[in-house]
Amino acid sequence: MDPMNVTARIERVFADIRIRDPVINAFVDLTEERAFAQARRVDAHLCAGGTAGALSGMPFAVKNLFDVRGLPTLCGSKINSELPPAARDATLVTRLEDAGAVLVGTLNMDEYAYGFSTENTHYGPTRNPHHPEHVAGGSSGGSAAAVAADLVLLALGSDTNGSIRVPSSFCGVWGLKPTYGRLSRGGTFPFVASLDHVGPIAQSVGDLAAAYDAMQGADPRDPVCRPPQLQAVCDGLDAGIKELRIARATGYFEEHAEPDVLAQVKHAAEALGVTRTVEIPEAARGRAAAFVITASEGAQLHLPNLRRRAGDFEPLIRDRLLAGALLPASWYLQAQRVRRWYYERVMRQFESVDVILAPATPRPAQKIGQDTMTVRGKSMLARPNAGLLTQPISCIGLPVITAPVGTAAASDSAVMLPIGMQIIAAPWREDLCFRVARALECAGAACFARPKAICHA
Amino acid sequence: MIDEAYVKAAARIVELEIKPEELPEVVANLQHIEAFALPLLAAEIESGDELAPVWTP
Repeated sequence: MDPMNVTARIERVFADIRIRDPVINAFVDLTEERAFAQARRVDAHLCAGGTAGALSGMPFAVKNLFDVRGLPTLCGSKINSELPPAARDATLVTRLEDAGAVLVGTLNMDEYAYGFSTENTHYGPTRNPHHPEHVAGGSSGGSAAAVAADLVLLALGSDTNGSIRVPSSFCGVWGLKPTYGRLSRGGTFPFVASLDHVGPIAQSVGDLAAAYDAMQGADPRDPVCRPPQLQAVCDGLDAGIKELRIARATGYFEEHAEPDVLAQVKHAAEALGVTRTVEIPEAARGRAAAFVITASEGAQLHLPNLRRRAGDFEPLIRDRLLAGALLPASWYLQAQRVRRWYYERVMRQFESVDVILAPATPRPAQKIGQDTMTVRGKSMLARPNAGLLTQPISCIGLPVITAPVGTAAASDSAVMLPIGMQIIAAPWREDLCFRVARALECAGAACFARPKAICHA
Repeated sequence: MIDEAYVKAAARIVELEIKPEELPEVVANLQHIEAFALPLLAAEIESGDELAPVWTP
Protein backbone atom coordinates (compact mmCIF):
# COMPACT_ATOMS: atom_id res chain seq x y z
CA MET A 1 0.00 0.00 0.00
CA ASP A 2 1.33 3.46 -0.86
CA PRO A 3 2.24 5.73 2.04
CA MET A 4 -0.37 8.34 2.96
CA ASN A 5 -3.15 6.35 1.32
CA VAL A 6 -4.73 4.83 4.38
CA THR A 7 -6.19 8.08 5.72
CA ALA A 8 -7.69 8.91 2.33
CA ARG A 9 -9.06 5.40 2.07
CA ILE A 10 -10.73 5.62 5.47
CA GLU A 11 -12.28 8.98 4.50
CA ARG A 12 -13.88 7.24 1.51
CA VAL A 13 -15.07 4.37 3.72
CA PHE A 14 -16.96 6.75 6.04
CA ALA A 15 -18.39 8.71 3.10
CA ASP A 16 -19.66 5.44 1.67
CA ILE A 17 -21.14 4.30 4.97
CA ARG A 18 -22.99 7.61 5.41
CA ILE A 19 -24.51 7.39 1.93
CA ARG A 20 -25.39 3.72 1.68
CA ASP A 21 -25.80 2.35 5.18
CA PRO A 22 -29.12 4.09 5.90
CA VAL A 23 -30.70 1.58 3.47
CA ILE A 24 -28.85 -1.49 4.77
CA ASN A 25 -28.70 -0.58 8.46
CA ALA A 26 -25.61 -2.65 9.18
CA PHE A 27 -23.89 -0.11 11.47
CA VAL A 28 -24.91 0.92 14.97
CA ASP A 29 -21.95 3.12 15.91
CA LEU A 30 -19.11 4.67 13.93
CA THR A 31 -15.64 5.11 15.44
CA GLU A 32 -14.34 7.93 13.24
CA GLU A 33 -11.93 9.60 15.65
CA ARG A 34 -10.30 6.32 16.53
CA ALA A 35 -10.20 5.18 12.90
CA PHE A 36 -8.41 8.30 11.69
CA ALA A 37 -5.92 8.08 14.54
CA GLN A 38 -5.14 4.48 13.54
CA ALA A 39 -5.01 5.44 9.84
CA ARG A 40 -2.47 8.16 10.59
CA ARG A 41 -0.41 5.67 12.62
CA VAL A 42 -0.37 3.20 9.73
CA ASP A 43 0.48 5.95 7.23
CA ALA A 44 3.34 7.13 9.45
CA HIS A 45 4.61 3.56 9.77
CA LEU A 46 4.57 3.09 6.00
CA CYS A 47 6.12 6.52 5.36
CA ALA A 48 8.98 5.56 7.66
CA GLY A 49 9.65 2.52 5.51
CA GLY A 50 7.70 0.06 7.66
CA THR A 51 6.44 -3.17 6.16
CA ALA A 52 2.84 -3.32 4.96
CA GLY A 53 1.09 -6.47 6.16
CA ALA A 54 -1.98 -8.05 4.58
CA LEU A 55 -4.19 -6.12 7.00
CA SER A 56 -2.41 -2.74 6.90
CA GLY A 57 -5.05 -0.07 6.46
CA MET A 58 -7.86 -2.59 6.00
CA PRO A 59 -11.17 -1.17 7.27
CA PHE A 60 -13.03 -3.53 9.57
CA ALA A 61 -16.04 -3.43 11.88
CA VAL A 62 -17.30 -5.66 14.68
CA LYS A 63 -20.62 -7.10 15.80
CA ASN A 64 -21.66 -4.98 18.73
CA LEU A 65 -21.05 -7.73 21.26
CA PHE A 66 -17.29 -7.07 20.99
CA ASP A 67 -16.07 -4.54 23.54
CA VAL A 68 -14.86 -1.32 21.94
CA ARG A 69 -13.22 1.04 24.41
CA GLY A 70 -15.48 4.04 25.06
CA LEU A 71 -18.71 2.48 23.74
CA PRO A 72 -21.34 0.46 25.62
CA THR A 73 -21.41 -3.13 24.36
CA LEU A 74 -25.04 -3.08 23.24
CA CYS A 75 -25.34 -6.68 22.08
CA GLY A 76 -28.37 -5.54 20.10
CA SER A 77 -30.27 -4.72 23.27
CA LYS A 78 -31.93 -1.75 24.91
CA ILE A 79 -30.92 -3.04 28.36
CA ASN A 80 -27.17 -2.91 27.67
CA SER A 81 -27.39 0.70 26.47
CA GLU A 82 -27.49 1.57 30.18
CA LEU A 83 -24.16 -0.14 30.83
CA PRO A 84 -21.05 2.00 31.21
CA PRO A 85 -18.79 2.24 28.14
CA ALA A 86 -16.28 -0.58 27.78
CA ALA A 87 -13.02 0.22 29.54
CA ARG A 88 -10.88 -1.78 27.12
CA ASP A 89 -11.12 -3.44 23.75
CA ALA A 90 -11.96 -7.06 23.09
CA THR A 91 -8.81 -9.12 22.52
CA LEU A 92 -9.50 -9.67 18.81
CA VAL A 93 -10.06 -5.95 18.21
CA THR A 94 -6.62 -5.28 19.70
CA ARG A 95 -5.00 -8.04 17.63
CA LEU A 96 -6.47 -6.75 14.35
CA GLU A 97 -5.40 -3.19 15.12
CA ASP A 98 -1.92 -4.43 16.03
CA ALA A 99 -1.81 -5.91 12.53
CA GLY A 100 -2.67 -2.50 11.03
CA ALA A 101 -6.39 -2.91 10.42
CA VAL A 102 -8.63 0.11 11.04
CA LEU A 103 -11.79 -0.22 13.16
CA VAL A 104 -14.56 1.92 11.66
CA GLY A 105 -17.60 0.93 13.72
CA THR A 106 -19.87 -1.58 15.42
CA LEU A 107 -22.57 -3.62 13.75
CA ASN A 108 -26.19 -4.60 14.22
CA MET A 109 -27.25 -8.06 15.42
CA ASP A 110 -30.15 -10.03 16.88
CA GLU A 111 -30.60 -9.08 20.51
CA TYR A 112 -28.15 -11.01 22.68
CA ALA A 113 -27.29 -13.07 19.55
CA TYR A 114 -30.51 -15.11 19.96
CA GLY A 115 -31.74 -15.27 16.37
CA PHE A 116 -30.87 -15.92 12.76
CA SER A 117 -32.36 -12.86 11.02
CA THR A 118 -31.16 -9.54 12.57
CA GLU A 119 -34.72 -8.23 12.66
CA ASN A 120 -33.91 -6.10 15.67
CA THR A 121 -36.86 -4.18 17.12
CA HIS A 122 -34.65 -1.67 18.98
CA TYR A 123 -32.22 -0.80 16.18
CA GLY A 124 -34.21 -1.81 13.09
CA PRO A 125 -33.68 -4.75 10.75
CA THR A 126 -30.45 -5.12 8.80
CA ARG A 127 -31.32 -5.51 5.12
CA ASN A 128 -29.73 -7.94 2.69
CA PRO A 129 -27.51 -5.93 0.30
CA HIS A 130 -28.55 -8.26 -2.53
CA HIS A 131 -32.22 -7.48 -2.01
CA PRO A 132 -33.27 -5.03 0.73
CA GLU A 133 -36.67 -6.64 1.26
CA HIS A 134 -34.89 -9.75 2.56
CA VAL A 135 -33.12 -10.39 5.85
CA ALA A 136 -29.33 -10.40 6.09
CA GLY A 137 -29.42 -13.45 8.37
CA GLY A 138 -28.17 -13.44 11.91
CA SER A 139 -27.24 -13.05 14.46
CA SER A 140 -24.12 -11.48 12.89
CA GLY A 141 -26.32 -9.90 10.22
CA GLY A 142 -24.70 -6.47 10.38
CA SER A 143 -21.28 -8.09 9.96
CA ALA A 144 -22.18 -10.07 6.84
CA ALA A 145 -24.21 -7.22 5.32
CA ALA A 146 -21.43 -4.65 5.84
CA VAL A 147 -18.95 -6.92 4.05
CA ALA A 148 -21.39 -7.87 1.27
CA ALA A 149 -22.28 -4.21 0.69
CA ASP A 150 -18.55 -3.44 0.36
CA LEU A 151 -18.72 -0.99 3.27
CA VAL A 152 -15.82 -2.83 4.92
CA LEU A 153 -13.57 -5.64 3.71
CA LEU A 154 -13.60 -7.50 7.00
CA ALA A 155 -15.96 -7.90 9.94
CA LEU A 156 -16.02 -9.93 13.13
CA GLY A 157 -19.01 -11.94 14.21
CA SER A 158 -19.91 -14.61 16.72
CA ASP A 159 -21.38 -18.04 16.09
CA THR A 160 -23.15 -20.08 18.76
CA ASN A 161 -25.49 -22.06 16.52
CA GLY A 162 -24.76 -20.64 13.08
CA SER A 163 -24.57 -16.88 13.59
CA ILE A 164 -21.54 -16.42 11.30
CA ARG A 165 -22.49 -19.12 8.79
CA VAL A 166 -26.18 -18.25 8.30
CA PRO A 167 -25.63 -14.55 7.46
CA SER A 168 -22.55 -15.43 5.39
CA SER A 169 -24.73 -17.81 3.38
CA PHE A 170 -27.55 -15.28 3.02
CA CYS A 171 -25.24 -12.40 2.02
CA GLY A 172 -22.86 -14.36 -0.24
CA VAL A 173 -19.62 -13.79 1.67
CA TRP A 174 -16.91 -15.99 3.21
CA GLY A 175 -17.21 -16.73 6.92
CA LEU A 176 -15.05 -18.70 9.36
CA LYS A 177 -16.36 -20.35 12.50
CA PRO A 178 -13.16 -21.75 13.95
CA THR A 179 -12.75 -24.67 16.32
CA TYR A 180 -14.32 -24.02 19.72
CA GLY A 181 -11.52 -22.52 21.78
CA ARG A 182 -9.36 -21.42 18.83
CA LEU A 183 -10.01 -17.65 18.85
CA SER A 184 -10.38 -15.64 22.02
CA ARG A 185 -13.78 -14.47 23.16
CA GLY A 186 -12.11 -12.17 25.68
CA GLY A 187 -14.07 -8.92 25.92
CA THR A 188 -17.16 -10.21 24.14
CA PHE A 189 -20.66 -10.37 25.61
CA PRO A 190 -21.56 -14.07 26.02
CA PHE A 191 -24.67 -15.90 24.88
CA VAL A 192 -24.14 -19.63 25.53
CA ALA A 193 -20.68 -20.18 27.03
CA SER A 194 -20.66 -23.88 26.08
CA LEU A 195 -21.17 -23.06 22.40
CA ASP A 196 -19.93 -19.51 21.75
CA HIS A 197 -17.33 -19.02 19.01
CA VAL A 198 -16.03 -15.85 17.32
CA GLY A 199 -14.60 -15.43 13.85
CA PRO A 200 -14.11 -13.30 10.74
CA ILE A 201 -16.28 -12.60 7.68
CA ALA A 202 -14.63 -11.35 4.46
CA GLN A 203 -14.96 -10.97 0.70
CA SER A 204 -12.06 -13.28 -0.15
CA VAL A 205 -10.32 -16.35 1.24
CA GLY A 206 -7.07 -14.39 1.38
CA ASP A 207 -8.54 -11.70 3.65
CA LEU A 208 -10.25 -14.34 5.80
CA ALA A 209 -6.92 -16.15 6.20
CA ALA A 210 -4.99 -12.96 6.98
CA ALA A 211 -7.48 -12.07 9.71
CA TYR A 212 -7.39 -15.61 11.12
CA ASP A 213 -3.59 -15.59 11.29
CA ALA A 214 -3.54 -12.19 13.00
CA MET A 215 -6.09 -13.11 15.66
CA GLN A 216 -4.71 -16.42 16.95
CA GLY A 217 -3.14 -17.05 20.32
CA ALA A 218 -4.14 -18.10 23.81
CA ASP A 219 -5.77 -15.48 26.00
CA PRO A 220 -6.19 -15.53 29.78
CA ARG A 221 -9.37 -13.47 29.32
CA ASP A 222 -11.11 -16.49 27.75
CA PRO A 223 -10.94 -19.70 29.83
CA VAL A 224 -11.72 -21.94 26.84
CA CYS A 225 -9.21 -20.33 24.48
CA ARG A 226 -6.50 -22.98 24.69
CA PRO A 227 -5.40 -23.76 21.15
CA PRO A 228 -2.79 -26.56 20.96
CA GLN A 229 -0.53 -24.40 18.76
CA LEU A 230 -0.57 -21.42 16.42
CA GLN A 231 -1.64 -22.36 12.93
CA ALA A 232 -0.68 -19.80 10.29
CA VAL A 233 -2.64 -20.59 7.13
CA CYS A 234 -1.73 -17.80 4.69
CA ASP A 235 1.48 -19.44 3.50
CA GLY A 236 -0.18 -22.81 2.92
CA LEU A 237 -3.32 -21.58 1.20
CA ASP A 238 -2.25 -22.82 -2.21
CA ALA A 239 -1.03 -26.21 -1.05
CA GLY A 240 -3.80 -27.81 -3.07
CA ILE A 241 -6.24 -30.56 -2.19
CA LYS A 242 -4.80 -33.53 -4.06
CA GLU A 243 -4.25 -35.76 -1.04
CA LEU A 244 -7.35 -34.62 0.87
CA ARG A 245 -10.24 -37.01 1.33
CA ILE A 246 -13.30 -34.85 0.74
CA ALA A 247 -16.91 -36.02 0.86
CA ARG A 248 -20.34 -34.43 0.47
CA ALA A 249 -22.78 -34.86 3.37
CA THR A 250 -25.96 -36.83 2.70
CA GLY A 251 -28.81 -37.91 5.01
CA TYR A 252 -29.89 -35.13 7.36
CA PHE A 253 -28.10 -32.48 5.29
CA GLU A 254 -29.91 -33.49 2.08
CA GLU A 255 -33.25 -33.95 3.78
CA HIS A 256 -33.27 -30.40 5.15
CA ALA A 257 -32.23 -28.35 2.12
CA GLU A 258 -34.05 -27.33 -1.04
CA PRO A 259 -33.07 -29.11 -4.29
CA ASP A 260 -31.63 -25.97 -5.89
CA VAL A 261 -29.44 -25.41 -2.82
CA LEU A 262 -28.19 -29.00 -2.99
CA ALA A 263 -27.51 -28.54 -6.71
CA GLN A 264 -25.15 -25.67 -5.91
CA VAL A 265 -23.34 -27.75 -3.29
CA LYS A 266 -23.03 -30.63 -5.77
CA HIS A 267 -21.71 -28.29 -8.43
CA ALA A 268 -19.07 -26.97 -6.05
CA ALA A 269 -18.13 -30.52 -5.02
CA GLU A 270 -17.79 -31.56 -8.65
CA ALA A 271 -15.51 -28.59 -9.32
CA LEU A 272 -13.18 -30.11 -6.73
CA GLY A 273 -13.53 -33.57 -8.25
CA VAL A 274 -15.38 -34.82 -5.16
CA THR A 275 -17.46 -37.94 -5.76
CA ARG A 276 -17.60 -39.43 -2.26
CA THR A 277 -20.51 -38.97 0.09
CA VAL A 278 -20.70 -39.41 3.84
CA GLU A 279 -23.46 -39.34 6.44
CA ILE A 280 -22.90 -37.39 9.64
CA PRO A 281 -24.52 -39.74 12.17
CA GLU A 282 -27.10 -38.51 14.67
CA ALA A 283 -27.08 -34.94 13.29
CA ALA A 284 -30.69 -34.40 14.40
CA ARG A 285 -29.78 -35.30 17.98
CA GLY A 286 -26.74 -33.05 17.74
CA ARG A 287 -28.99 -30.19 16.76
CA ALA A 288 -31.44 -31.05 19.54
CA ALA A 289 -28.62 -30.98 22.10
CA ALA A 290 -27.51 -27.55 20.87
CA PHE A 291 -31.11 -26.31 21.01
CA VAL A 292 -31.65 -27.40 24.63
CA ILE A 293 -28.24 -26.19 25.83
CA THR A 294 -28.87 -22.82 24.17
CA ALA A 295 -32.33 -22.46 25.71
CA SER A 296 -31.04 -23.18 29.20
CA GLU A 297 -27.71 -21.33 29.28
CA GLY A 298 -29.06 -18.35 27.31
CA ALA A 299 -31.95 -17.88 29.72
CA GLN A 300 -29.83 -18.42 32.82
CA LEU A 301 -27.48 -15.62 31.74
CA HIS A 302 -30.36 -13.16 31.60
CA LEU A 303 -32.38 -14.41 34.57
CA PRO A 304 -31.78 -11.31 36.75
CA ASN A 305 -33.06 -8.98 34.02
CA LEU A 306 -35.91 -11.36 33.16
CA ARG A 307 -37.03 -11.02 36.77
CA ARG A 308 -36.67 -7.25 36.91
CA ARG A 309 -37.51 -5.97 33.45
CA ALA A 310 -38.71 -8.66 31.06
CA GLY A 311 -40.60 -6.02 29.08
CA ASP A 312 -37.35 -4.45 27.90
CA PHE A 313 -36.24 -7.56 26.01
CA GLU A 314 -36.68 -7.94 22.26
CA PRO A 315 -40.24 -9.22 21.78
CA LEU A 316 -38.98 -11.85 19.31
CA ILE A 317 -36.92 -13.58 22.01
CA ARG A 318 -38.58 -12.71 25.35
CA ASP A 319 -40.92 -15.70 25.53
CA ARG A 320 -38.13 -18.07 24.47
CA LEU A 321 -35.91 -16.75 27.26
CA LEU A 322 -38.70 -17.04 29.82
CA ALA A 323 -39.35 -20.63 28.75
CA GLY A 324 -35.62 -21.45 28.78
CA ALA A 325 -35.37 -20.31 32.38
CA LEU A 326 -37.87 -23.01 33.40
CA LEU A 327 -36.57 -26.15 31.78
CA PRO A 328 -35.65 -29.11 34.01
CA ALA A 329 -31.99 -29.71 34.85
CA SER A 330 -32.31 -33.28 33.57
CA TRP A 331 -32.91 -32.00 30.01
CA TYR A 332 -29.85 -29.77 30.10
CA LEU A 333 -27.56 -32.40 31.59
CA GLN A 334 -28.74 -35.05 29.14
CA ALA A 335 -28.11 -32.61 26.27
CA GLN A 336 -24.51 -32.18 27.44
CA ARG A 337 -24.05 -35.94 27.71
CA VAL A 338 -25.56 -36.56 24.26
CA ARG A 339 -23.26 -33.87 22.93
CA ARG A 340 -20.18 -35.84 23.87
CA TRP A 341 -21.76 -39.11 22.66
CA TYR A 342 -22.55 -37.45 19.31
CA TYR A 343 -19.03 -35.98 19.09
CA GLU A 344 -17.48 -39.42 19.40
CA ARG A 345 -19.64 -40.75 16.56
CA VAL A 346 -18.79 -37.86 14.25
CA MET A 347 -15.08 -38.18 15.02
CA ARG A 348 -15.19 -41.77 13.76
CA GLN A 349 -16.21 -40.38 10.35
CA PHE A 350 -13.09 -38.23 10.32
CA GLU A 351 -11.00 -41.41 10.37
CA SER A 352 -11.93 -41.90 6.71
CA VAL A 353 -12.53 -38.32 5.49
CA ASP A 354 -10.65 -35.05 6.04
CA VAL A 355 -13.26 -32.55 4.92
CA ILE A 356 -17.06 -32.68 4.63
CA LEU A 357 -19.11 -30.38 2.39
CA ALA A 358 -22.70 -29.53 3.36
CA PRO A 359 -25.21 -26.76 2.65
CA ALA A 360 -25.11 -23.90 5.16
CA THR A 361 -28.80 -23.01 5.12
CA PRO A 362 -31.91 -24.86 3.93
CA ARG A 363 -32.61 -22.07 1.46
CA PRO A 364 -31.65 -18.41 0.87
CA ALA A 365 -32.80 -15.42 2.93
CA GLN A 366 -36.49 -15.01 3.63
CA LYS A 367 -38.24 -11.65 3.45
CA ILE A 368 -38.11 -9.31 6.43
CA GLY A 369 -41.17 -10.08 8.58
CA GLN A 370 -41.69 -13.50 6.99
CA ASP A 371 -42.57 -16.04 9.69
CA THR A 372 -42.57 -19.32 7.78
CA MET A 373 -40.70 -20.97 4.93
CA THR A 374 -41.07 -24.21 3.03
CA VAL A 375 -38.27 -26.76 2.95
CA ARG A 376 -38.79 -29.97 0.99
CA GLY A 377 -42.52 -29.28 0.90
CA LYS A 378 -42.75 -28.87 4.66
CA SER A 379 -43.77 -25.52 6.14
CA MET A 380 -41.72 -24.46 9.14
CA LEU A 381 -40.80 -21.36 11.13
CA ALA A 382 -38.26 -19.42 9.09
CA ARG A 383 -36.23 -17.76 11.86
CA PRO A 384 -35.22 -20.68 14.12
CA ASN A 385 -34.90 -23.15 11.25
CA ALA A 386 -32.31 -21.10 9.36
CA GLY A 387 -29.89 -22.87 11.70
CA LEU A 388 -31.06 -26.41 10.89
CA LEU A 389 -27.82 -27.26 9.09
CA THR A 390 -25.35 -25.26 11.16
CA GLN A 391 -26.37 -26.30 14.69
CA PRO A 392 -25.26 -29.95 14.41
CA ILE A 393 -21.73 -28.76 13.51
CA SER A 394 -21.16 -26.00 16.09
CA CYS A 395 -22.66 -28.24 18.79
CA ILE A 396 -19.35 -30.15 18.78
CA GLY A 397 -17.06 -27.26 17.97
CA LEU A 398 -15.85 -28.32 14.51
CA PRO A 399 -14.14 -25.67 12.33
CA VAL A 400 -16.15 -24.52 9.31
CA ILE A 401 -15.72 -22.07 6.47
CA THR A 402 -18.87 -20.97 4.69
CA ALA A 403 -18.26 -20.53 0.98
CA PRO A 404 -20.52 -18.49 -1.34
CA VAL A 405 -21.31 -21.12 -3.97
CA GLY A 406 -24.07 -19.52 -6.00
CA THR A 407 -27.69 -18.52 -5.80
CA ALA A 408 -31.02 -20.25 -5.25
CA ALA A 409 -34.66 -19.24 -5.09
CA ALA A 410 -35.77 -17.44 -1.93
CA SER A 411 -38.81 -18.79 -0.09
CA ASP A 412 -42.15 -17.37 -1.28
CA SER A 413 -40.35 -15.16 -3.77
CA ALA A 414 -39.04 -15.40 -7.31
CA VAL A 415 -35.86 -13.63 -6.22
CA MET A 416 -32.56 -15.48 -6.58
CA LEU A 417 -30.28 -14.88 -3.60
CA PRO A 418 -26.88 -16.16 -2.44
CA ILE A 419 -26.42 -19.52 -0.78
CA GLY A 420 -23.45 -20.87 1.15
CA MET A 421 -21.76 -24.22 1.59
CA GLN A 422 -20.10 -25.40 4.79
CA ILE A 423 -16.53 -26.74 4.50
CA ILE A 424 -16.18 -28.79 7.69
CA ALA A 425 -13.05 -30.36 9.18
CA ALA A 426 -12.01 -32.15 12.35
CA PRO A 427 -11.17 -30.02 15.42
CA TRP A 428 -8.13 -27.74 14.99
CA ARG A 429 -7.90 -28.39 11.22
CA GLU A 430 -8.93 -24.95 10.02
CA ASP A 431 -5.96 -25.26 7.64
CA LEU A 432 -7.83 -27.92 5.65
CA CYS A 433 -10.95 -25.75 5.46
CA PHE A 434 -8.81 -22.92 4.08
CA ARG A 435 -7.11 -25.09 1.46
CA VAL A 436 -10.46 -26.35 0.18
CA ALA A 437 -11.90 -22.81 0.25
CA ARG A 438 -8.96 -21.52 -1.78
CA ALA A 439 -9.32 -24.38 -4.27
CA LEU A 440 -13.00 -23.52 -4.72
CA GLU A 441 -12.15 -19.86 -5.21
CA CYS A 442 -9.43 -20.67 -7.77
CA ALA A 443 -11.78 -23.01 -9.62
CA GLY A 444 -14.39 -20.25 -9.81
CA ALA A 445 -16.86 -22.48 -7.97
CA ALA A 446 -17.21 -20.06 -5.03
CA CYS A 447 -16.69 -16.34 -4.99
CA PHE A 448 -18.04 -13.15 -3.47
CA ALA A 449 -20.37 -11.45 -5.97
CA ARG A 450 -20.84 -7.74 -5.37
CA PRO A 451 -24.55 -6.89 -5.13
CA LYS A 452 -25.80 -5.28 -8.36
CA ALA A 453 -27.25 -2.23 -6.66
CA ILE A 454 -23.94 -1.13 -5.14
CA CYS A 455 -22.75 2.31 -6.18
CA HIS A 456 -19.84 3.76 -4.21
CA ALA A 457 -19.55 7.33 -2.97
CA MET B 1 -45.43 -33.27 29.82
CA ILE B 2 -45.13 -29.53 29.99
CA ASP B 3 -48.34 -27.69 30.74
CA GLU B 4 -49.54 -24.45 32.34
CA ALA B 5 -49.33 -25.91 35.83
CA TYR B 6 -45.66 -26.84 35.38
CA VAL B 7 -44.80 -23.38 34.00
CA LYS B 8 -46.54 -21.63 36.88
CA ALA B 9 -44.86 -23.83 39.50
CA ALA B 10 -41.39 -23.58 37.94
CA ALA B 11 -41.70 -19.81 37.54
CA ARG B 12 -42.54 -19.51 41.24
CA ILE B 13 -39.43 -21.50 42.17
CA VAL B 14 -37.07 -19.33 40.08
CA GLU B 15 -38.91 -16.15 41.13
CA LEU B 16 -39.97 -15.26 37.64
CA GLU B 17 -43.17 -13.40 37.00
CA ILE B 18 -45.06 -14.62 33.95
CA LYS B 19 -47.93 -12.32 33.06
CA PRO B 20 -51.22 -14.07 32.24
CA GLU B 21 -51.13 -12.77 28.66
CA GLU B 22 -47.59 -14.21 28.23
CA LEU B 23 -48.41 -17.61 29.67
CA PRO B 24 -49.67 -19.37 26.50
CA GLU B 25 -46.57 -18.34 24.52
CA VAL B 26 -44.19 -19.36 27.30
CA VAL B 27 -45.94 -22.74 27.59
CA ALA B 28 -45.75 -23.17 23.80
CA ASN B 29 -42.05 -22.29 23.80
CA LEU B 30 -41.27 -24.72 26.60
CA GLN B 31 -43.25 -27.44 24.84
CA HIS B 32 -41.16 -26.70 21.74
CA ILE B 33 -37.97 -27.18 23.76
CA GLU B 34 -39.47 -30.38 25.20
CA ALA B 35 -39.88 -31.70 21.66
CA PHE B 36 -36.10 -31.37 21.28
CA ALA B 37 -35.39 -32.82 24.72
CA LEU B 38 -37.41 -36.03 24.27
CA PRO B 39 -35.12 -37.64 21.65
CA LEU B 40 -32.15 -36.74 23.83
CA LEU B 41 -33.70 -38.47 26.82
CA ALA B 42 -34.37 -41.50 24.60
CA ALA B 43 -30.77 -41.71 23.36
CA GLU B 44 -29.13 -45.02 24.25
CA ILE B 45 -26.11 -43.68 26.06
CA GLU B 46 -24.13 -45.49 28.73
CA SER B 47 -23.83 -44.44 32.35
CA GLY B 48 -20.14 -43.78 31.65
CA ASP B 49 -20.91 -41.21 28.95
CA GLU B 50 -19.97 -38.04 30.73
CA LEU B 51 -21.28 -34.59 30.01
CA ALA B 52 -19.13 -31.85 28.54
CA PRO B 53 -19.86 -28.62 30.38
CA VAL B 54 -16.58 -27.09 29.20
CA TRP B 55 -15.95 -28.46 25.79
CA THR B 56 -12.42 -29.40 24.77
CA PRO B 57 -12.49 -30.96 21.32
